[in-house]
Amino acid sequence: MVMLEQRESHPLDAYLRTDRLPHIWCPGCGIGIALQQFLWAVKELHEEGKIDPNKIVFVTGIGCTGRASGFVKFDSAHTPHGRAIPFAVGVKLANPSLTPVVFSGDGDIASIGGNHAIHAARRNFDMLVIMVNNMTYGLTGGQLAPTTPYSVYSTTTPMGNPERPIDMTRVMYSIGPNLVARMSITHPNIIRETVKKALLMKGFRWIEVLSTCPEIFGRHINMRDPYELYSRLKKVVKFKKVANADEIKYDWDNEITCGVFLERNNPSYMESYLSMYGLKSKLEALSP
Amino acid sequence: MASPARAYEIVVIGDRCKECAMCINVCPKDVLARGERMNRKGYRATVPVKPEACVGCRVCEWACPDFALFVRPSEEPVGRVIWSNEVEVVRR
Amino acid sequence: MAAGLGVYVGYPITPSSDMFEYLSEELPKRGGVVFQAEDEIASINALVGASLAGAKAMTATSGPGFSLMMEGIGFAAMVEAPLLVVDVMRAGPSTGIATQVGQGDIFQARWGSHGVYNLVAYAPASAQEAYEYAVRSFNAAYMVRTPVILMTDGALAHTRERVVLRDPGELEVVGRKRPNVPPDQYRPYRPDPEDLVPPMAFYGEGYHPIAESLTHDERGYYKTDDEIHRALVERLVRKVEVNKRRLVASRSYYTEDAEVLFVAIGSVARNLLALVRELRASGVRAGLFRPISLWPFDDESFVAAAARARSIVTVELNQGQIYAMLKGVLWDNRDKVANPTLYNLEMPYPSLPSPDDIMEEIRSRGWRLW
Repeated sequence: MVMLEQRESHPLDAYLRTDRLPHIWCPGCGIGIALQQFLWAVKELHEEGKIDPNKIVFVTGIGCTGRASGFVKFDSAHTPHGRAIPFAVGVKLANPSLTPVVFSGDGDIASIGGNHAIHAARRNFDMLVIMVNNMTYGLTGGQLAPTTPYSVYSTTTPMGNPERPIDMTRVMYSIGPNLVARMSITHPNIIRETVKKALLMKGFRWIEVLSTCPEIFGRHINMRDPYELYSRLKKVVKFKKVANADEIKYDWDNEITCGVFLERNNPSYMESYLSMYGLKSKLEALSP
Repeated sequence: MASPARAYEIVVIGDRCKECAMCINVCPKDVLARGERMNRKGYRATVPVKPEACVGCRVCEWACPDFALFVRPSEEPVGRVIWSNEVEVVRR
Repeated sequence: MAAGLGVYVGYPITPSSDMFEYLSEELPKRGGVVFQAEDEIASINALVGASLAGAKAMTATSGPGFSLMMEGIGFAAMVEAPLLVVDVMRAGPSTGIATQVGQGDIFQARWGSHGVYNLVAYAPASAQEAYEYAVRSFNAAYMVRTPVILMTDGALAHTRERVVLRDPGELEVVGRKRPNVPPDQYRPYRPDPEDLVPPMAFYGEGYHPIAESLTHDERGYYKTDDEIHRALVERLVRKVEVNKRRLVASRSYYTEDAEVLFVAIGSVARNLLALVRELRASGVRAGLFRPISLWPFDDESFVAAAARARSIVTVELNQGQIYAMLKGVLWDNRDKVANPTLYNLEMPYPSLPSPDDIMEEIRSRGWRLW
């Protein structure tokens, strides 16, 4: 018998509320995979002395992805449905040295939160938004999401989805903030690299992370096994550079284009506001 | 990071595993297998049954949604499953 | 700004936009930031974030925007974020008449959001009072960690009158209660037993507080147990009640021997005061009770003012909201009053009634008040 030693904890345990593990996500859920890569990015930057985790404010909305704020050991917030982005705006306005990170689901950000997302991106507002997209409303039982593929079953479209889904990453590309990227849990190390890059950039950074929901979305398309759904996702994920919005595809049956589509260094909202309105000390405190 | 000449330690935190088998499926070297012992939540935690075959690619670690599995370099190949009051060790 | 306002996030809406526009120029000169959000929903949620990140935060709106903010106000109450919402009441419902006065949001201020919670609301009646109660509203917000609603009306918003601005130090300005334990012992929702209010750690100080909109325990962890939910919501309600003495405010005019007691708030109360003085001059023992705190209501002062009254008349630009409140207050205090008759002078007109208008309303209903 060997007693559990401190060094035997998972390398990311310092950033987790380990008293709340195992978390509530289903076996094979992609959210945990996405969160893991986010935390690796934080850990690596922290060890390189490039960020201070005490300045991260981890903001989530409602949904399975939204539950992440309960599992991370950062300043966090579990906001009402769709309101993570405005909450993060308020945080940054109050204290420009803080680093708001919005980590929420496709229902929360693209549906009820859609307007907030569009305007934050338009403003190039200083925040990192990670939208974990599992193409359903998982926590509430599998209702239609604006990202659900055409013709697929959902509990509110039992005869099949008559709607075209939205490609939020393509929308973001058209708005043109400082970073627009789509990642997938099937390619975890690229998530980590992109998050690391994003955390050090200014302005509005958008990272969609395609994810699997085997228990609900998988069940709806007859692929309940986590690895089967994961493999199905991996088949349509294609990493490419794009020259225009039309090259960004979101088609569950053919191709969902992934990659870093836009990377700019335009002035952020806080930079513009603080310099235009003469708020010098706040401008100096602005980070990143 | 993957280097066939080195050895690796694969650590499973038994009580966190949810038996999703993602790690087992993504491993290119068949290092992992479903275990027999059930954890507190009723899942049978994965066991690193062939630690000597591990090449340290960490794909299993990154495929785990539950922070239940990690891989690190080691003097000799070994698998561990950590339970709350003991550690099961697999060594060849 | 005298209270130390740091962040204003708003959306234009008549008749509150003047406040927004003024602050957008003046607040940055004092180191604060002003942000126009995409809608009122974004505004209120941004205020919660700003408050928890350490800034005194406010917005100003009117009926339609106030309705949109209800979810966010409930959120602020649940995560105990001090903030100020000014509701410049206008004629409603819905879009109503943007440029006319209203008083119809009194119940909404307290009960507009869903579920069980509490908050503080004030209704000033002059520019001076608006200034001083803006500071008091922030003080109340930090004292009990709730959103506070400052209810003015469209007429007051456009009133120009002299205001005495206080020197720094003349007005009491209250900030947050700081945590008095190290981060590993800090529990974001553990109240101090004497006032039921938890000390407040801001974001960025290393305490890792969780702002949790789900029902939570002292750590901010989601819990569905009966006892935890009950303990939480009871505390959210009681923390305002136990601090009531420091929160209530009202003014009584000519009430020591009043037989007819009028009750009104805001701009209506000012005109009513003129009527009361006229009545007094003609020998009628009239008085005016003017609540300044609507929630919690200053029932003690009201009961004292109503002690000798045979008639109590609420005068409101709505269907009788203070009237409905007073029914309860009078019932609870029936042994302290002289069995008065309560009259509801409901005047849901979008314009401010003059003293003569009010007199005419009373006559037209055939009430024998004196």
